[in-house]
Amino acid sequence: MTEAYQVYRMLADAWDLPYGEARTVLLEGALRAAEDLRDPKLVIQARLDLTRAYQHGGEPVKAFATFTRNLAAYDAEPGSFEERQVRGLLWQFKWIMGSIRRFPEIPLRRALDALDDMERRYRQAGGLLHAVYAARCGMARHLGDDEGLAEWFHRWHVQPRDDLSDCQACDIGARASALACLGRDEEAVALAAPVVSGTFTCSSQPQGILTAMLPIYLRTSRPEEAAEAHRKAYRLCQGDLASLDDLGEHLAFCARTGNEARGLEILQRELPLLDRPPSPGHAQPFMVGAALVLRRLEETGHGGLTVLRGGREVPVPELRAAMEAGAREIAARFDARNGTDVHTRRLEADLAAPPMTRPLPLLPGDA
Amino acid sequence: MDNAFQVDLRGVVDLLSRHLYSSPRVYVRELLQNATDAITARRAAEPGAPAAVTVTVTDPGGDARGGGLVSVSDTGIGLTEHEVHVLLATIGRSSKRDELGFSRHEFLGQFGIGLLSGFLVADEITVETRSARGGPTIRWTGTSDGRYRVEPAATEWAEPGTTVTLRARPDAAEWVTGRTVTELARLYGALLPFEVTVNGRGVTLDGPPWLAGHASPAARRSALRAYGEEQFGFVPLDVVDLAVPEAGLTGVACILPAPANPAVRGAHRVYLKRMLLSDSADGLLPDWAFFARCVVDATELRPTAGREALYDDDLLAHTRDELGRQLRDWLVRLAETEPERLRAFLALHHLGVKALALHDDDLLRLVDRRLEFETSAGPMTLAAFRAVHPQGRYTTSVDEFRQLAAVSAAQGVGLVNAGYVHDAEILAALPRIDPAARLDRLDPGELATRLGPADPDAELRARPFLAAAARALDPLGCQVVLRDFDPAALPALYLTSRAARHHAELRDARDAGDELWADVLGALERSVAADRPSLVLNHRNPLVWRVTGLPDLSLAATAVEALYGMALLHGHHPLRPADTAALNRSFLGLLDWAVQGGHGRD
Repeated sequence: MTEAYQVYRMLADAWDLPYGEARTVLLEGALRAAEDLRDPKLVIQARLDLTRAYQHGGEPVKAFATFTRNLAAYDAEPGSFEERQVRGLLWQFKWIMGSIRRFPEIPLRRALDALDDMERRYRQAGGLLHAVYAARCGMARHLGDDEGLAEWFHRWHVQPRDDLSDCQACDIGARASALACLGRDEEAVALAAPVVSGTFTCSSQPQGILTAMLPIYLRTSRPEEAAEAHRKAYRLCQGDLASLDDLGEHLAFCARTGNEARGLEILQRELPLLDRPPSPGHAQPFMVGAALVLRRLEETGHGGLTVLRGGREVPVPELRAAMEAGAREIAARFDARNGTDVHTRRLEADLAAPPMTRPLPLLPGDA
Repeated sequence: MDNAFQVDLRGVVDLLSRHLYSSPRVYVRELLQNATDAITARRAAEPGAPAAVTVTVTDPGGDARGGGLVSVSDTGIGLTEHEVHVLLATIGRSSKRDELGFSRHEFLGQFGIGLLSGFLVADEITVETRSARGGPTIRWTGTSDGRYRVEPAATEWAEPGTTVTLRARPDAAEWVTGRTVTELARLYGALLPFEVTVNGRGVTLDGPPWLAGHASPAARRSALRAYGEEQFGFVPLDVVDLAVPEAGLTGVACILPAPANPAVRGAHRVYLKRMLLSDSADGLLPDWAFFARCVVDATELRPTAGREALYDDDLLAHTRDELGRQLRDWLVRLAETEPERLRAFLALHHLGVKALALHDDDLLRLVDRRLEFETSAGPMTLAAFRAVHPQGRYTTSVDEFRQLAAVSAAQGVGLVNAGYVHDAEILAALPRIDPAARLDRLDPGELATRLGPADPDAELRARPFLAAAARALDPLGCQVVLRDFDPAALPALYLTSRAARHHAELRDARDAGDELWADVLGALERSVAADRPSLVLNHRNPLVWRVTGLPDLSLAATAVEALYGMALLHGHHPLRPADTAALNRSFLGLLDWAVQGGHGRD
């Protein structure tokens, strides 16, 4: 039998690995060994670490099981958790809320109940509501509830940061996106400015905020900022399954700025990730970005090209049709779950968006 | 008229020392930098001017006034009286970090900032200076409460230059001793292009060692390895030359002679214009190159405000890519010219090479052809393995490989152990360089289908036994199948898949959660592939063959539980409480049967 110190060693070794299958599989082994030892503290820690590995390794659906097991263990015996483990569990609730939005198979009623459960637990932890307002704002955006979005954004914005707030860059990036949704692009740029040029302490940054700023920079005629954000952020999220949705933003950026050749290069490199998307909510933006790049290729007279997928050279028009159909299917599932037509309307607007009138050179020297 | 805020110098110094600089030791660097800038400025106008920095340190001895006395003299451009007033009087005027940005493209504006760091260790600073542009020799004395006075120096100097003198505060005494100052001057200034002495002893080298001439390539290599050892404390496996003209960068990368932890990055020595910026710089190399430590000197890279790290801009990104390319070219060259050294390198640093191969086709080819993997046919390269087993499979865990290699090989399915970091991703990436490569992950469930069915007659005769066995193992969540396979010595195999485990986890979680979470998990259940583990009994094994023929079905069920427990142990699968109970039950049952002389139980 594996000894406790060996399990701790496995947990420590996992920290040295990049997120991905190797780290996840190691932690799955650690969890099984901890359960084998019947050591509750070790099981809790292994589940916390494994939940994190699933979340950042692009398998968020599996995080639900480990997270709720810990939640049930906490409810059964709160004293079995160390203080930092309680904080870790509550922190992970934010990821789960994000995932609940991204899986249309979860009924809306239950998604809203989960939000209430999150608020109840965060209140109990000392009234730490900053991240709760952020989550409510995210849900309002997802539902296309403009009034709710404005209201929750206001509360989020004026609530002081607390122990469970996202890191500065993650939080500001999310707030900038919310502002953009409210049509307040210039405020979004101003809010993000000091953070974008700062130092970062979080594994999702700066690529997260830079990607979020891409469409905002383009809409507000800041092409240099947009090009720099694209270069920096794409380098950091390339090949990262958990960033599949962000990769879609980069594809869309290439399509909109006359960089369809680079877009095709990125699409060819990242397309295999779409075979195992973390969630429908991740797959959809990627498909949209891919469809936009492919459409631009057709419009610029390169519709005869092919893209390698699953060992087959797929003609550009065929792949574009598949991407558009896939994105529409997911949007329809979200709308069916939410009882609205918001996602379909947003999707059609995104697919129909025209490119910028002047191509944007990507490298400073390429004018 | 606009008014200026009165700045409290003490407060500014506190701010700097707590937020800008990591340690008071930087005062030596700042004073050296000031001297260097002054010499550079003078030589721009007067190329033949003398260039030397002389540092003297007087250890405190019995002096009650506090710590030691340090003075730094240069033969640089010096300051006129007007400049002294303007510059030194406005110390602390810069209020934004960017203005404190220390880019030092402009000499005069930086002099005061550099001097300010002297207040990290002293309460009083004296500057005596004579400008190369004429005028009298001036003496400026400033104190940390913000007062200063300017007066003619006691003696008129014959030559231009500047001497900065400070006396350590008692609490900073350890920063101003002969030993500390010598060490720090050598640390920061070893590569400066003129002589620096501390109490008469030189601390500079004759320029960067990688630019020095040598009698032969071998002599150069051994000199650079010795330099690497001096810098990093290890004898490098190899030394790779680096150059990025756009960044004005030259230097060497020292390859670690022992396996490195990929999470430990940085620790590079970076000089900017010959002055040490950091001995623990990060971001200079791509993440995958954690097997190298660099010493470089650059003219164009930007420092952060505290001058202790590199500012992450586009030029640094370009430099990082370019240095990565040079290390990669070195590897490819090694593969062609010195395969033995490549072997030694790969034995230590395969992790970094694999990480790089994920994004680089040339390196992927190198991994494919040169790196040995553990396979069911012994250690071999992936290229060799694919030639023998075009339809081979790989496992993603070492335990799974150990358990299944023999069985799988006996079925003609070659197996690669891809249980280590990056292995599985490497295998998945192979079609990029060889579209015909089809190495898929072995799903143990699939292996079950590869194992030949038992003879139909035997299978039919065993049906009552199989039904009893299924009833025994159903509570454990496991199904039972009968197959006929090699090796015959193996009675039973427990095959599970990640999917089966995930499914079991989800169901357990659903049962443990409250109503809300049970519903959420229930909704997701269809998104997680359904699968159950199986116990595969080997009909070719004599023991299993006899067990299937047992007339006593309850004894047969006990035997199946025992085989199940054994298969779990054999495959290093952890035992759940229910598994342990089954194992105990079967052991006691069999013992009971044995001591009764094999006459059944009543």
